[in-house]
This record gives sequence, structure tokens and C-alpha cells, in this order.
Amino acid sequence: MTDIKINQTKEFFENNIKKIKNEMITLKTDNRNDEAVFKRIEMNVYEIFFTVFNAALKVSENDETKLKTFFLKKAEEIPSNWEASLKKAIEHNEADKAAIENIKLDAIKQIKENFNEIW
Amino acid sequence: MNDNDAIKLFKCLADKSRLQILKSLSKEDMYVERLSERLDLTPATVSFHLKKLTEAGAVKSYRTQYYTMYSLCSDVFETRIIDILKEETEDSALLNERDEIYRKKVIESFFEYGKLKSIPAQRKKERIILEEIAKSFEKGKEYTEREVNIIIADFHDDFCTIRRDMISEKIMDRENGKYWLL
Repeated sequence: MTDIKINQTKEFFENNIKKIKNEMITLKTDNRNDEAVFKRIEMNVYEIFFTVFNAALKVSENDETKLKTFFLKKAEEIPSNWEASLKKAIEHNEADKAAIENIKLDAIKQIKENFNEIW
Repeated sequence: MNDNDAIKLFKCLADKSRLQILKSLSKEDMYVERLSERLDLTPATVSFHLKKLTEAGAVKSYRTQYYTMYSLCSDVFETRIIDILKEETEDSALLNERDEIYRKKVIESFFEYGKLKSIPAQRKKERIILEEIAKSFEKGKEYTEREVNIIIADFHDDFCTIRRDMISEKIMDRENGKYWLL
């Protein structure tokens, strides 16, 4: 398992968390509080999957396949509830809930794409 | 518009994106995607804001052949803020009740058998006492200074102070030696 890939993944998470945090502060300053909350939600998704990645590093015991399997499995499992919530929100015309679930699903899509690119 | 509706509306307006949506809708009715392009927000975010604005009564929607259009509820924005503030609410009724209890307590403390024991040092309490004494005067009737003094003297010996304070508190007015209730 290459350290370069590990570092690249860590950097991806760290940079995005930092970037989203800055966007959140900008939105708050610009009196767009609800959108700042959306950024907070997006940042949470990155933080959750950064934790998942660190857990994957531990359980994989330097086995790249194990790491990828662990991470991608979680990246399927965790958002499955979000997809169900989004479906319900759309059915019930709840734009606020739908917006939040969309943000979470967009974030995990980006994370998965980047993870697959690196690994 | 009751207090809760007003709070909901003001809270809803305290957001730059929602203000921009309202500004756009003040020009013409629009659908989500158009607002999204215009304001550089995602359609999901625009829908989120439109829902909040609809719930606050600021925006309404209607369906056309292809789109759900959103329009401004102009009547809400034509409401004057002063009219909202003047509206009687349950809260103000509660405040009135509290005021009445406080008033009764002050009167009971400072009056004994219809006589004023002392002139309150606190302005708020003195105002209540003066209003109570003012009930002995008839609305619309003019009094000479002597008549005023006699009426006040029934309550307290220091009728000069009370008479002057009634003027400064704008409970009574005077001109050319005549006094009357305001």
C-alpha cells in the first residue's frame, strides 16, 4: 500500500473540509445562514468519511484491497438511508429536506469519485 | 398579521438569498430553474428558499403548462410595519393584565382610607398615583387652580407638588389659570 495514495486521500479530505469551512464562514458573513448550514452538512459528510478512511487504514493492515473494500462498502451503506429520505422528501414535496439529502448525496458522490481516482 | 406570522416573515426575510429571490419575483413571476440561473444557486437551494418564503406567506405558486411559477404576495409587502406593531395580540393582553396587577399593588401601598400616605419617589409609581387622583376630575371640565388644589388636598397636603407633577406628566394641562384633564 503506497504512502502516496494515503497522503493524497488525506489531503483530499483535509483540503475539502478546509475549503467548505471557509465557504461556510463566507456565507454566514453574507447573511446566507441557511446556505451556511448546508455547508456545515456537507462538511459533516467529509468529516464522517475521513473518519471512515482512517478506520479503513487501521482494519486493512496494509492490504490495499481490504482498505478499498471497507471504505467503498461504508460509502454504499451509509448513504442508503439518505437516498431513502430523499425519495420520501420528494414524494411529500418537502423541498427543505430534499435539499439537505441532495447535499449529502452530492458530497458522497464527489468523495467516491475521488477515492476511486486515487485508488 | 399576528405576532407569530410577523416573526416568521421577518426571520424569513433576514437572508440575502431570499431577499434576492424576492427582488427577482418583484420584477416578474419565475420558475425554479430560471431563479437558479439568475442567482447562481442550485435548483435545490432555490426550492428550499421558495418553500420557506411560501410558508411565511411572502410567495405563492401556480402551475402553468410546463412549470410551477412563483409570484410575490404583494399584499404582505404592502402591510405597514407600524400596523403590525399596533395590532392587539394575546401577548399584549397578558401585558395589560400584568400592568393592572402592578397598578393595583402600587395603589394599595400608597393609599390608605382614600388618603395618599406619601408621594412615590419612583416616577412610574408616581404616575400611577397621579392617574388615580385624576379620576376625581371630570373629563372636559375646566377647573380653577383653587378647585384643583382643594380636590388634590383631599388626597395629600402637598397639593402644589401633585398639581405641578400632573402638568409635567401631561395628565392635566393649564392655560390662563384654568386646568383640565388631557
